[in-house]
Amino acid sequence: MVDVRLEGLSKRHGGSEILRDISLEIGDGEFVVLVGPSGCGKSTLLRLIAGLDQVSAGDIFMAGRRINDLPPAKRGIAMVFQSYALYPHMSARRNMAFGLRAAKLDRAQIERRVDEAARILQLEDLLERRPAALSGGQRQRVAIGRAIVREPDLFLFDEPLSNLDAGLRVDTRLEIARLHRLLKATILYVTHDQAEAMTLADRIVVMNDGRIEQTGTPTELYAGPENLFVAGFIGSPKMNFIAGAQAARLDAATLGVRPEHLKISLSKGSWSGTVQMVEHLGSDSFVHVECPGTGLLVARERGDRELAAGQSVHLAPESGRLLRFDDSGKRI
Amino acid sequence: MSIALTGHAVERGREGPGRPPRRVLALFLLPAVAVYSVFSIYPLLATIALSTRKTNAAGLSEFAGLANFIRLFFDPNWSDAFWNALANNTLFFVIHMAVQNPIAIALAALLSLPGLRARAFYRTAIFLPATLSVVIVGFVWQLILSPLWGVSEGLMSAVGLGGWFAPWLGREGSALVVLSLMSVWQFVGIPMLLIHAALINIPDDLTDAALVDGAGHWRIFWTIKLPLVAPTIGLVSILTFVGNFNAFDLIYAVKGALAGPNFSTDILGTFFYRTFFGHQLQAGDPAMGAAVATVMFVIILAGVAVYLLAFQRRLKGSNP
Repeated sequence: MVDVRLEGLSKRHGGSEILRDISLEIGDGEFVVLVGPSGCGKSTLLRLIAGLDQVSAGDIFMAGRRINDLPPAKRGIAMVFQSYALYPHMSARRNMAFGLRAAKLDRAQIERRVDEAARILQLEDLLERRPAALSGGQRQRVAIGRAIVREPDLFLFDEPLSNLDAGLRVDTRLEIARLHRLLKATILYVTHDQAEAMTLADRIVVMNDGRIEQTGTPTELYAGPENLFVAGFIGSPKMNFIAGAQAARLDAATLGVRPEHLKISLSKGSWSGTVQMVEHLGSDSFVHVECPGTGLLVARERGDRELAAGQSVHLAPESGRLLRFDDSGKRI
Repeated sequence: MSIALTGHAVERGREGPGRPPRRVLALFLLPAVAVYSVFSIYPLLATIALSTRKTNAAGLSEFAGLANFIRLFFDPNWSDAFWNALANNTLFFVIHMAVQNPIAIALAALLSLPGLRARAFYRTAIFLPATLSVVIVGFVWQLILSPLWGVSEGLMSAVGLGGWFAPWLGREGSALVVLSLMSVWQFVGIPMLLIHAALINIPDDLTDAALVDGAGHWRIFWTIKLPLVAPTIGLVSILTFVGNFNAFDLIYAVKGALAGPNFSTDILGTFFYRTFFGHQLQAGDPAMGAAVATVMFVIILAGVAVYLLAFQRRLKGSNP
């Protein structure tokens, strides 16, 4: 395993700039998640690292070696695709062995590595099946197996869970986390799902519009977003934003406060309003409160607190939990 | 929903609300069945029936059993021409399979290269001859290859190959091969388009995955793309088979019904034409013609059956 360094990476396609001046370091054995909205360039970045697209400017280093001009196969990477990209006419075993056969490994070694990967992924009984005879989750495991057998320096995952249903997504997420610990692999993982990013990552890279907005551990990003975009993108439900005169009073253009940092009181608070809706999640409830002059605020409450739509309530932020942002969206 | 409906239908008999009454189904099927019966089934059966009859000395038609087929296969007056036509037809088909379809695959692969410029132009240009009349194609090639007025001898001389020129269409040894190649030239666009369509249907992700897996473009073509277009190649092969064993027009246009020189380009279609309708000194014999047509039908049926049973089933099966 090996560390990866991106320096000033840019990608232009036609007249438009898809990636602008991306610099990033990935440590040995680190699980880095690239997260951002659709079209922010995160998948393009992955393809540049994989060597499936050519960079317009900048350099990619692996273990100190510049790999810009190496073909994908020589880069020591393996990639798992959103669509699984399994070869439909080959059994699971042949799918997993394909790269090893291309690399002309001897038969015994191929057999050994495929069996080992199948054991790790619990695919032993499915090896002779073709992809059409596998479920979505099994296909994804074969795709991951195909990556594992190559024993790459770097795993690239391109939205690997997007085609799975909700339950399977959680299972596979845990599976990937387990593999990361087991293989001590360096992983670069792309997703648009911030919950996936938060649960899996050692470090999250938030991307927007071809740039890196912020890099940090999940807790760093959650507690200390550097700008409005990251503040709004990380966390569910979203952070509440308050603009206008109330923000100006605190020398900011926008104020931000997370739902769990808003206290609901029946008697007093900074803002007063009417409960619009209560989303019951069991342990918690999300209370949507329409505050005249401020807007809709969402507060997180304990699930057993009785609140009903139409009720008048007051909201107050916990002290020190109010984030301030300037005109350009930067945190003050 | 469907379970509920099925249950309902069973309860109320076959004419429940979930399923239209059989009489209605029959009514809707009737037009298609009628047209198919009158224009396909009946002529086929009538032809087979006709092949079992002969005209007796009194000029009356009478039942002859398999006599026509026995004459066709074993009476030297008929069998020499029949086996000659069958052998020629087989060669005609083999040349198409060996030349047309590999070229079509190669052209389709080239057409689906990323970054190819003027793709639409190449596609149209290669497909264009298939839209021409066989008569025009035959005539044009005949002019090109003509030793008297043709341009080919001049063109070959210009590049120093003049000595290699020969009146290929007029020679027994080469006429059939040249005619086959003319047909290949005309129709290569059709399998090319079909295979091209299948190739561009292969998701890019598969190619990307194989590239990351370390396969080169050559290996990707042979191990990923070609197997994935195999069903289309199978389809193209069976279309070629049916087309070749029903062929007639090109030979007739270039060589006439006698399929010269000395019947060296005679295929089943032209042989059938002379037998059924008669030609010059040969009198037409509808019953023998029907026998030839029946044999052609059986050959094509057998080929299609082999394709459907052995080939297609294996290709479609997702699991061994």
